[in-house]
Amino acid sequence: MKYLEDAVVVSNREIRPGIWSMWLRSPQICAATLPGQFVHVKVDASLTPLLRRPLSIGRVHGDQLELVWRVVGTGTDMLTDVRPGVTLNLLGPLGQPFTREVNASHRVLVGGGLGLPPLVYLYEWFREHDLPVTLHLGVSGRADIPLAEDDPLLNEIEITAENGEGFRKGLVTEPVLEQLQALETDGSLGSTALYSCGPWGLVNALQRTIPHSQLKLAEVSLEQQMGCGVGVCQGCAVIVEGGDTPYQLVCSDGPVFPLAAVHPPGVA
Amino acid sequence: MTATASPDLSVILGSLSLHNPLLAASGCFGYGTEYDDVADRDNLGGFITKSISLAPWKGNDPPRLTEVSPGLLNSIGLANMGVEKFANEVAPQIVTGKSKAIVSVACKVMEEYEEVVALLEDVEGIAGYELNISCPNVKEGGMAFCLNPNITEELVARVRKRTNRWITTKLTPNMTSVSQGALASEAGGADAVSLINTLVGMAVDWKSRRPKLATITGGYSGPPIKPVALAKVWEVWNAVKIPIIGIGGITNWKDVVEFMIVGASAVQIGTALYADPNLPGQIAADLREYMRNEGVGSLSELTGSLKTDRGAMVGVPA
Ligand SMILES: Cc1cc2nc3c(=O)[nH]c(=O)nc-3n(C[C@H](O)[C@H](O)[C@H](O)COP(=O)(O)OP(=O)(O)OC[C@H]3O[C@@H](n4cnc5c(N)ncnc54)[C@H](O)[C@@H]3O)c2cc1C
Ligand SMILES: Cc1cc2nc3c(=O)[nH]c(=O)nc-3n(C[C@H](O)[C@H](O)[C@H](O)COP(=O)(O)O)c2cc1C
Repeated sequence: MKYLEDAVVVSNREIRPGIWSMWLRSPQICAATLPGQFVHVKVDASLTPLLRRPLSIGRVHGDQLELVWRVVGTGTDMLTDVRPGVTLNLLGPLGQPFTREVNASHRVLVGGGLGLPPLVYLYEWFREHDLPVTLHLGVSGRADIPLAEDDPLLNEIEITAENGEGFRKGLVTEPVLEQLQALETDGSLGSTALYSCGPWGLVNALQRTIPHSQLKLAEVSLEQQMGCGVGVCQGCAVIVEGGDTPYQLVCSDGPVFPLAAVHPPGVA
Repeated sequence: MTATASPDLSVILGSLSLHNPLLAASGCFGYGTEYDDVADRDNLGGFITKSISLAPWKGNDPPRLTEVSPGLLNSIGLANMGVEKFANEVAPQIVTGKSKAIVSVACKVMEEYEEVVALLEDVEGIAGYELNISCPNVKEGGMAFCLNPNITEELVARVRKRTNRWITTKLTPNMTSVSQGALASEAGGADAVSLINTLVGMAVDWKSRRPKLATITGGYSGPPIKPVALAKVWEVWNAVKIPIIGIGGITNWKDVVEFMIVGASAVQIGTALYADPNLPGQIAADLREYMRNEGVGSLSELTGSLKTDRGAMVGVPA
């Protein structure tokens, strides 16, 4: 069930330069959503921006959900002006969630930059269900971490930064590969599930460097320019193997797809 | 004139009567059920389905959409499930309720239009057909049918022989004289004309020098196209006798009233539905309020009521 809900903004703050976290009270959407789904946000009642903006559902605590975004244009900039107490109209929960693999022996989550929020939700879901899970985050530096400096998660997750800055220095695929190699030695690679979300560079690197075909499951969450959010306009097509056509829609077939099946734009 | 407590919004377009003049535009309301969770379909007088072709179409390469504030540029390429699946799986679910289901048909060749309509004749409850002869985003067929009035007339006449149901043709603004397409539709036996489809447009990234759509050009829709659409409706109002359905950039009740004043008997709402699927319910309520406040007894009295000092001029710039 999808809802159009006027969600009340509970808090809205800049957690890193240009990265914002907003908590909203949205009881219907919170009760219905699963990790990997997103909301389509009506940023303003006016005609600017014209379309809603898709944002992943981050943490869900009770009847409140978190959105975390980077300011990249008009809509994400206007969201920074929204004050607590104001309502924002949300359409959601939308899209297909991650496959919540409860029978895997281990779960490896890999986020790149602003790909982290849906994985935080998935991470907390697995933790609540007492299932073994590791969350890796790759960023260029501390300023790109989509978590506040006082966020307890900061010390729980594996952060790799290209600039180092006190974290493991390098690319996030390196510790992920090491973990998978250790799991292989254990004989549990085939019962491991991998979930990822991030820029195409990361998706590509995962496809090339990790033995994803040997895993129990490997999924990725994608982004695409979006119109309606519910499969009506057919605008958010991406190239994904294995369907009736070369294309699938991020909003309703996705955003979660099999890692092995997705192709970067323009490479059918 | 006495304003009633709940003004009647109904309009009549030849053999088609609608409980209100608000239709959802093709491509902006899916096959009809997608918004059911969040919006009451019955708030619409009717809806036009995504254009249906004979075989399924996969659509164009991504990216297919880009916002050009406050408008939208798309190159979907008529991606759709094809008539067979539509007739068997979807159509039976959309012909219920008081909102009329009108099926948009788009094909590559004339024979296919006839075939699709013939197949849909078996589905009970379909109120009519909109022949999409104006899509700017496909290589074959599409807009080409509309650009040649002789072809338009022949196509409509051939489909007319296959059905007694109500037919409208969807016209393109991308031609010198849209009224030629309207006249050809009327001559072919159409019950109404729908205009406008999207305007050919383009968006470029100045930095990368790349087009923002994979197809380079696309179809422009949304609020910025309203003045163009009003001019085209006014032009056609002065040319044909069959009812006109006005389309282009509608976002509120005033837009609806304006389209009716320049000649529309009903309207379609497209892009604005993406932002607010409940917009038709809001507009219907606002129209009732307007009728009460302005003492308008029937919406049909608005149609073509434009007051000009020079009489009915065809919409050619002076
Ligand atoms: C399913 C999904 C989940 C997302 N979750 C997050 C998230 O949790 N945090 C976050 O920071 N960003 C997320 N994004 C990306 C986010 O939607 C865009 O950054 C945002 O729409 C940009 O809007 P704007 O008005 O600021 O930018 P503008 O460039 O002004 O936007 C113009 C148009 O492009 C679209 N657009 C631009 N960039 C993107 C993009 N990367 N993906 C999709 N559409 C885009 C906008 O929606 C709009 O229609 C997500 C995208 C999708 C599809
Ligand atoms: C994403 C998108 C897809 C569309 N698909 C169709 C279609 O399949 N058939 C059709 O006749 N018109 C299609 N249209 C055109 C609309 O029906 C309408 O004519 C146009 O968008 C102008 O109205 P608007 O400004 O209210 O959107 C589409 C428009 C958009 C934005």
